[in-house]
Amino acid sequence: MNANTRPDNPMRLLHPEVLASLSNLDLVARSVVDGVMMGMHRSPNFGFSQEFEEYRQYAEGDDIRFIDWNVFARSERTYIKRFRGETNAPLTILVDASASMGFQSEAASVSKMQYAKYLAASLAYLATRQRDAVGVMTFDQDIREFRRPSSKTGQLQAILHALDATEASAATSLEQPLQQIGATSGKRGMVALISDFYCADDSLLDAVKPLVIQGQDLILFQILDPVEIKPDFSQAKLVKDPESGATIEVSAKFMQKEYPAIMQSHIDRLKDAAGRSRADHVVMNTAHPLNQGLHEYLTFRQRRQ
Amino acid sequence: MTMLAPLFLLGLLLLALPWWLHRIQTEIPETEAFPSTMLLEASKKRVHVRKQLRYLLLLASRLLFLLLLVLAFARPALEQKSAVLNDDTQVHLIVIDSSASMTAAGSIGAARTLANRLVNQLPGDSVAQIISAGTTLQTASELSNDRDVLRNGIASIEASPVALNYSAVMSGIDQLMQADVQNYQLHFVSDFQNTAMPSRFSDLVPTGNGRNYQLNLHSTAVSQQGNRAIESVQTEQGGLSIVVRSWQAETAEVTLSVKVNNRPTQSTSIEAPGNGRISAVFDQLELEDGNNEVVVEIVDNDAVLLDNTYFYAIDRTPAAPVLLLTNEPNGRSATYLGAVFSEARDDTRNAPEFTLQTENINNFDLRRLERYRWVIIDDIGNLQGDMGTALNDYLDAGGAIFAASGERSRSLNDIPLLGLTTNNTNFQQQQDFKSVSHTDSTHPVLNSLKGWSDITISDHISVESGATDQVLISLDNGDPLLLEPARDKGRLVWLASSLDNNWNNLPLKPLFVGFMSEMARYLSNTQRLDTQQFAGQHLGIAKDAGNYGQLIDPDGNKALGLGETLNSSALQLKQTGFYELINASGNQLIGVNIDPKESDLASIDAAKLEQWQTAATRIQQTASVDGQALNTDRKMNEFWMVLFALAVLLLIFESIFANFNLRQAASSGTT
Repeated sequence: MNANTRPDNPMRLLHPEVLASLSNLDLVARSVVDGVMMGMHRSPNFGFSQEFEEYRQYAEGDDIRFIDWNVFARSERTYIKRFRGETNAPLTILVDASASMGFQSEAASVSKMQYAKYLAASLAYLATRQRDAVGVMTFDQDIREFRRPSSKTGQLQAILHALDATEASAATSLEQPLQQIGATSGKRGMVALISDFYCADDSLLDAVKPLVIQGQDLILFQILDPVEIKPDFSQAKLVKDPESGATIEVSAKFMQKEYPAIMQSHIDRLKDAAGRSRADHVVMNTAHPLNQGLHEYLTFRQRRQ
Repeated sequence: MTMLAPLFLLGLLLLALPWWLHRIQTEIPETEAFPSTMLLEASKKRVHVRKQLRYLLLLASRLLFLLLLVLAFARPALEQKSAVLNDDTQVHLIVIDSSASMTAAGSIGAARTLANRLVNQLPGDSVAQIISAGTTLQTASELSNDRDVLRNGIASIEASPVALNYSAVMSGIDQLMQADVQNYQLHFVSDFQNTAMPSRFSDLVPTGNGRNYQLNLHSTAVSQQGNRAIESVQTEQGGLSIVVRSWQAETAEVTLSVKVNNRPTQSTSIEAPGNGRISAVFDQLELEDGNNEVVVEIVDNDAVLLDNTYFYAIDRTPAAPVLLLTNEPNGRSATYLGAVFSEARDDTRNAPEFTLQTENINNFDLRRLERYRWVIIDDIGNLQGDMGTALNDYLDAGGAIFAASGERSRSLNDIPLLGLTTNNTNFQQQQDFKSVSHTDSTHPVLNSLKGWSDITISDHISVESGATDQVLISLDNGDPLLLEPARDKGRLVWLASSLDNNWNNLPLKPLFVGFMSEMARYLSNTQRLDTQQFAGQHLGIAKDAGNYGQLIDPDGNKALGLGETLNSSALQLKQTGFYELINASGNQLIGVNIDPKESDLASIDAAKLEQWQTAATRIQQTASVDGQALNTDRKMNEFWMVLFALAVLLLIFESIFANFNLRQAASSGTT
């Protein structure tokens, strides 16, 4: 039995098949994040911080719960206490909802789309817990839904609702959503792009270049089904592309011997392209737990600070 | 295309069955869901495309099989309009003489040229047919308006050694004129030999059966051509007598040569008189026992080469022995019968066909019976004890017996071998003469014999014939005189009277010779065919004479096989030369030559031809008999057999292909 699947191991909660049994994304996100936190022994470097950082004059829109009433009493000025964890930039989660994300093999208990939703929900929940403003954009070749990053109460629920309503369909285009992010975000922040990245590395570089120039920190989550990494074809089959509808016949020999190498090469090229754009690239197997993704995010967040 | 049984087309509904079965059994190509084909390479081997093609081919073959089967049952036929005939259409029948005389230098070529000219001159809307006239009329081309078809028909006509008779040609043309055609132009291309003219002029005129027709005679006869021919050959005192006929104006020296069994034997030169005959004799031919092929030839060339060679068959087979069992070897029966068989000569052999061997019935060694094909018993009353049993066995073994009655038969109650009971009270006395009242002329023994009314019977054994017995001759009191009981094996003929002149006057009459000769042929189961025939004649083969066997033509090919001689009674002799009949009784040669009438090239004078042409024309202005339009000449060519054969081939293909597919599916299922 795998250590991660033992009943007494809190990490088991991060397994996709366990998460799939939960009824809504809120529960999923809480389960995932709590599991991750338990696994990390609540490290102060990564958890919710109470450490005072600075005072800042209250501005309209700030949460009045953070007004330092003692200072107000002394100076009749409204100052807001800022803690260390609140100095971060907003997180925008981009979720690819193209048709290819709807794929689910027998080896995986959830589809790539579902896995991406879990990951996005978990990231949103974690960011919210850490007082980060968080937003979400779902897209295929067009932008389907876009919620700007915000720390407002109810933002998480709105995000989870938006994610829940997302279904995989149509083709993919990274350019438009990334341009939109670049155009609407004036502040340095973090962008988590969740996709299977069936695109050329050059086009990915072109797409993320505006964000890089803008100073956005980018993390790319590449969601792949186990079969995409190592297909199990015993005979020649007709393969249909869900986005283009094109059907080609592939041999078992190609799928077993040549394709894994081609996929690995593709992943390497994407990783290299991400590196050149100072972005992180994380490959996530839908048969594996989500902790890797969250761990990557937290590491990334800390590094950015 | 027409369907002769269109109801069967309902069977096309069956096509839905394989279609439906294929639909439910279709192995849907496994389309695998995969996120993207961006990183995939298409396989070079299009396995699925091939599989789909195989599936479609299998479905197509099954559908096509059913379609062919249904169409075959629906009996499709192509409507062939060989020619469109209407009121204005004239049908031209071009008849070309292809008899032996047309082998004369240039004749058949001139006939073809004339016929081609006629075809070229045919009006555009007319149709024609080419016919070859030999002993009978034969179609050389279909009725057609296609000039090439007609020219090919003309080119296919060759002169043959057969004889032609103009009355037969006109009679044949009558039969060719179709009921639905009213206007005929008849063209007869011939050398118009005088000898082919019928005795009655009216036979030269087709009846027409109410149709309009006009006979046009086209002569190919050139200037008088000199010809000589061997008119006849006969054996004469061990040699050959040959008659040469000359139609040349002047006397000329002619060289004759004789070959016996392909060996040059003799040759001689004779002076053939102008327009006359001359005989030549070749003495002492070296003939062999059995059949001899004698070929007499005029060495010099003339107009018709076919009649310069004469094929003559000479049979030197020894006479067959006939056994007479009697208790008086020197009695009258033996004397009369001996005289009969020495007198009864085969015309073609000029020698006795049978020789009588008389044996005393009391001392005869029964083991010798099997040497004889048939036996004569002059008094059936002599059969007692072992002799009766031995003769019964002889009959059962396929032998033949001609038994007569005599003094010893008087005491019989039952006739041996026949098993008939005698009617003792009816023994006739000398003074009570009977005569023949009825003869069965259908029987081979009696069908050519006449004069039975001259025969008087003074005494005979009276019996009641059995239900299955065939009474060949009956007396005026109703008693059978000659009787043949029905037997599964062997032949038995019983004469109720004697073979001497004690009980009747038959042995004293010439009829007795013919009677015994025919009886001998019947009981020995042999038929002597005429050894000399003319080309074009039909060789009659009597099945009951045991002639079935093989008939070999002059080229050594089988003209008739055993089964064919059993089933067909006649064969047209189309070639000159020696035909050979091979059967159980031995071989018989038949020399076939051209009819001497074909050698006389003298043609009908122009006035008579004009008269013939004028007489053979019948044109009435009211063309149509019943006033109806003429029908189109339609011919339905059915081709269901082709469809059926294709269906069978397709079924075989489908079986093999389906089996192959199953194996492919099984092997791919296991991988």
